[in-house]
Amino acid sequence: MNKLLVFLLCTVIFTACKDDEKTEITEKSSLSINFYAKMGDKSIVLEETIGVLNGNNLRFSKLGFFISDFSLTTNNGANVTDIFDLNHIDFSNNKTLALAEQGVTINNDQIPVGNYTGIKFSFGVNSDFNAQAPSDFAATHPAGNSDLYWNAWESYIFSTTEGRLDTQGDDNFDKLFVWHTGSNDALRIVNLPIDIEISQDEDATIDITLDLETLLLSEDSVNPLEVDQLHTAESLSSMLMVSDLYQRSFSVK
Amino acid sequence: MNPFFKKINFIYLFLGLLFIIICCKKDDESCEPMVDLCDLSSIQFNPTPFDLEIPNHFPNVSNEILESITNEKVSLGRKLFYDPILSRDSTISCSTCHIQSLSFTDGRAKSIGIDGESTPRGSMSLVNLIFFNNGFQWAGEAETLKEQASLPVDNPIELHGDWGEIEQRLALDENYPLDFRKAFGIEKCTDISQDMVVDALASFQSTIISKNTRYDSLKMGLVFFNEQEARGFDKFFDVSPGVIDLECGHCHTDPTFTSNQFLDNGLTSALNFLDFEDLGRGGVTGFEVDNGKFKAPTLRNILLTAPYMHDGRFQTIEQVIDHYNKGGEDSNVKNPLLVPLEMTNQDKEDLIAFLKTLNDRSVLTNPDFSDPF
Ligand code: HEC
Ligand code: HEC
Repeated sequence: MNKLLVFLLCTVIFTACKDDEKTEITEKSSLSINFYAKMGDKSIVLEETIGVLNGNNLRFSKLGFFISDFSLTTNNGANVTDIFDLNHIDFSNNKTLALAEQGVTINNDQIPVGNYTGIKFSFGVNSDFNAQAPSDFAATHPAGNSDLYWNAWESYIFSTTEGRLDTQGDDNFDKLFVWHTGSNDALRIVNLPIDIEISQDEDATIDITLDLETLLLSEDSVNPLEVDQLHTAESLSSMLMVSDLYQRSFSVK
Repeated sequence: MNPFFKKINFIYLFLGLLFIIICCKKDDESCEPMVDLCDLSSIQFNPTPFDLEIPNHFPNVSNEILESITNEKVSLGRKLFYDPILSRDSTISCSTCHIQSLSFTDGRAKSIGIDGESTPRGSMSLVNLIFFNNGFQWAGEAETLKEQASLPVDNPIELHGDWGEIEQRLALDENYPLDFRKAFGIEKCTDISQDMVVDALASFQSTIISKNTRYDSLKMGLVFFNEQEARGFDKFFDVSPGVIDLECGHCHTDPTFTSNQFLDNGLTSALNFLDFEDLGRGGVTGFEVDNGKFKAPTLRNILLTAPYMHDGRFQTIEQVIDHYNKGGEDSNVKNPLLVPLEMTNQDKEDLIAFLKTLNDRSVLTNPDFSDPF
């Protein structure tokens, strides 16, 4: 009798274990994230007049930013981390409308299949990476690029927003602005709701739009006519404001 | 040269050698060693890795690149760099326009090529090429250093060589077949190829590393800057709040003092992107927004490499500084960092004192980089 019980118990455990194992072998699929730089509904083409700021025509010359610790939230509230640890989203290829509309894509093909309800990432370089410097990384690593590092801050340049304004309405873009953000204080967490099923059958895509109208045309926006250079400790408060505004500039389509 | 003719040349060469073999065999035995001149298989092929010794504060170089550089390739590349054998009429070599004592520039606004004709742009320093990851030449015409090395050879203004002919010359040379055997393990002298030549040239150039400036010593904690150098450093990189920001460090990035980027530093007064005579990067990519952009070159040894800019328009460093001080020319397309700086004389002197810390005499005198002939 006892033996029988032990045997039954063992079979129960055995089958239960088997079941567990089955669910542990999660299937993986591919997820692409596309980032688009826009001004309202217009895709930003570098060096083309894209909008009007305080009555002045505006062009962007350079746009790019780091994101770190990209994670997804499943429909039962679990976090899937390690999707992307650090990426530099660089819009320097926005040289024509067609290229701008393509956006910048990052991809991971090891995403557990399932239903997801949220995205979370840090806008900027997390403090672990930011405690290091480009010479600590391979040149091909996003953190290995010395152009994106600012020695004076001992920090990566989290975001780059450069452009020009025509202040006289004479087609001379006479006012230039260069905004760089960086240092651990400038890191911002972005949470975005999504509703997406990642399945084995189909590659999933999430489109994230960065709308620079939020950055430049919000009530609390920093005015590039007044703050044209943003990369020193002197402009710290404006830099933190720009970081806050960037945080609000992302949305998922 | 047309690859068909190249093949034919090889066939002639081969037939020639065959002929020698046959006639030698017939006539007398003492002729035999001449035949063996082309057969290299008995010579040892045992390449040894080159030790580059890159200081910690420099960018990482991939193992793949490091492992591809051997002592044998480097010493062959050095010979080829200095040997006019690569030019059409064996008159000039790479070193004609890249002179060691001038940090591998030539001191001219535009270089003078094989027929005394000027190149469209000025020569460039060859230090720290191994760290460049975004293309070579002023507009990035070549993606890799190997690719770059064949351009001057083909270029009718520069060496105007013919690869088929060069391969033959090298094959018939009394020393090169042995060097190629040691570097690449070829079996016969006729195996010498263009790809090996450019590989050897790239390997040699990869070893030209400037790492012995005063700036490097500072980075390694071996020296302190004097007050003026420190002020110049501060202004160049915009370290302390309250100090004038000269913006240089954005484009001439530490520690190579190039950002590897193609940028418009305001040399041309341009209303739009069509206003450039030399399209620069745009000529390579075909994108209008790239017109007028050129590589921000290294500032290591900059005080020794006048004249300045891709067209050599500035004779002195003071003229360069004046250019940046006024924010470059009026332009709708120049880089937004080009704004009037309002420098005082003190600022200018401090900046020059800092630029002096980028001098690296060791590059100019290192016997490993010198003419081996
Ligand atoms: C007639 C003069 C001349 C000769 C000969 C010459 N060069 Fe140059 N070199 C130049 C000029 C001019 C440039 C810039 C070209 C441009 O951007 O249009 C240049 C650029 C370069 C660069 C690019 C450096 C950088 O920072 O991107 C390398 C590398 C180089 N040369 C190597 C060589 C090698 C190797 C040889 C021999 C096979 C050679 N050169 C022969 C004039 C010369
Ligand atoms: C916007 C980026 C940018 C900034 C800022 C900048 N440079 Fe440059 N620099 C360049 C580019 C691009 C070139 C090459 C331009 C060309 O030849 O067309 C260059 C060329 C030079 C040269 C000539 C190099 C040579 O080998 O001929 C010197 C010297 C120089 N810069 C020094 C400075 C100094 C000093 C500062 C600060 C006052 C500075 N630069 C700021 C981008 C920049």
